[in-house]
Amino acid sequence: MTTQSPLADAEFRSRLAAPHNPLRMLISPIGWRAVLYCFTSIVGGVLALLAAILGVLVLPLVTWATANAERGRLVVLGLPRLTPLPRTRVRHPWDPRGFSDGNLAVWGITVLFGLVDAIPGAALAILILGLAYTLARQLNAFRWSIDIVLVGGELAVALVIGLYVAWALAAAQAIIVDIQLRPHSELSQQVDELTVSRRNLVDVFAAERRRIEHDLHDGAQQHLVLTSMQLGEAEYALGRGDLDGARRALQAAQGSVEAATTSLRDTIRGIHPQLLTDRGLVAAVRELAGRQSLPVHVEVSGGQTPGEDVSLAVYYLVSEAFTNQARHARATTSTVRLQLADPLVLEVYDDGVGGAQVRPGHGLSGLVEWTRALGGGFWLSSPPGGPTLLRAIFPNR
Amino acid sequence: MRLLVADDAALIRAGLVGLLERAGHEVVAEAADAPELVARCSRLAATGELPDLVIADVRMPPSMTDDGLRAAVQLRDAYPELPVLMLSQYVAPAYAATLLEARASAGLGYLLKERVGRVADFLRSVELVAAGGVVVDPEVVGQLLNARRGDPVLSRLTPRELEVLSLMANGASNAQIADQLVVTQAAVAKHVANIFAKLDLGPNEDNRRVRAVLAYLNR
Repeated sequence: MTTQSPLADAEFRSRLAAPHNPLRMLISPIGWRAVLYCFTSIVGGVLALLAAILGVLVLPLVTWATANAERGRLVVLGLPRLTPLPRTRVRHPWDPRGFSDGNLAVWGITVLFGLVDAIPGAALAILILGLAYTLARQLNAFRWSIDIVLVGGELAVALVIGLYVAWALAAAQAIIVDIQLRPHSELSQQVDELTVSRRNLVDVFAAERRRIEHDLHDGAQQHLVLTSMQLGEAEYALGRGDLDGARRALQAAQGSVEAATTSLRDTIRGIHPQLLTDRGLVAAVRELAGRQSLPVHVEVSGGQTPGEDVSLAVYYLVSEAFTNQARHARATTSTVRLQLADPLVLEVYDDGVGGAQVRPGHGLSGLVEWTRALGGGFWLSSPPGGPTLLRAIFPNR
Repeated sequence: MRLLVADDAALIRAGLVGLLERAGHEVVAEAADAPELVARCSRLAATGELPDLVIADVRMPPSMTDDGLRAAVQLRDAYPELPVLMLSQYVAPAYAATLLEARASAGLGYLLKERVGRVADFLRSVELVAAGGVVVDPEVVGQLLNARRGDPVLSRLTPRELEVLSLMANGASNAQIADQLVVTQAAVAKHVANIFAKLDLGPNEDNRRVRAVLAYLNR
């Protein structure tokens, strides 16, 4: 289920790439990073082997710890640390889950590379140290000869070869570790992202309920309370024989009931627009556009009717875009472009003052979450001074 | 009477003010949010012209939660002699308890907003609270009684006594209870005496008995 994106692979390769010019290898960070990585590989490999021999009864814990160390050790090469899967956390030292998620294989790689790295590592270290010692002695003796140039040249060649060998071994190990561990790591990141987005969606629902409660409280309920007061007054006036007063109160009550009905209708439209159900997205968006004080052009292309969930999300995005335009944009014209294909593309454009943002807890941020929950994407471009372009795409199957 | 009316909904505030003025009261100040309510009260208090009654909405700006209620508690602490009648779109015993906790002994009312529609009753409640009485919405009393279902003491009350109890908690006088239940005042007095005996509450005058009953139910 996990796919490695080509971009991530390209990024990975470019960070591991070594310069082709041998002289530049001497000053390039990747060569020296590789030396450090190989040195830690040798230490880590020997430790992993010793730990496995001494702690054979807690082998799952050893492989789990080894893999964790390897995830972090990629940082030495300038690569990002890999996140472990939550479930790979072992509960007790012999928990067999310590072997899973590539841990056992990575332990093997660590030991293997630790031993393999040690051979050329030791040979090159002896050679380079020997040459450096000779060179230092000759320099100390102040006997200038061709030997100094020769030894210096040999040292430089040995260093370059050492760096390339270290680079090759380090890159090989890093690539194998990455292949083993990255799928689990990406799964772990997806789980984290899903957890966050699910929590955000719950916030969206809670905010929506608060909005409806506010709408009802400030709208219909106020008018109904007022109606009740006016009817009470009519009765009170009748009781005193004040017919004119009673008539005035009754007329006022009728006005209040009408206001309550209008307000209820607005609230209901805010919950689920009737037209959207009956006539579909295009008709509902056109009706919404027609109710704006700003002239709105609606351009529709394609004819692939979206599903109910996508329709509702698109409708609310358009509605929220209009609300923001009316409140902040000071625009003179607005355009809604709706491309009914797969994917469905929505664009809302206005020539206003710009500066629109997706702020957490505000209307648009909830709709962005909603869009993502439907597998879609959202972009907002609104530089100060305008114009503002909101763009959303939805899978439409 | 001189009244102060606080409600953030301009429509309702105007309706309320109109109704009270047509009933012969004078509205000396209006407020649209909780801080304004407190400010107007202290300004009136400074000149020694504290209103006879404050009528305020529970839910008001700035936070649109129970700001009005908290302002009322603050006012009762500052001016113990100031009667307060709270109106709300939604009532709950917890809010009533908050109001009753304040150490003030002046009149106190807590009613659903739509009770204003029963104009004659509402005006009577206004008078009652201004005179130092306690009026609590039947809805609150119902919720309190409901929460204490199965209480061994309350279950000793007869259905009729329970009816009398809730009317009493609403602030009705013996005469009004007799009127509503279509019985004689003497019968009501007997029920009331029985209730107080069964609940182990001392004998109480009219204005204090509502507090006693509510305190019992809130226990």
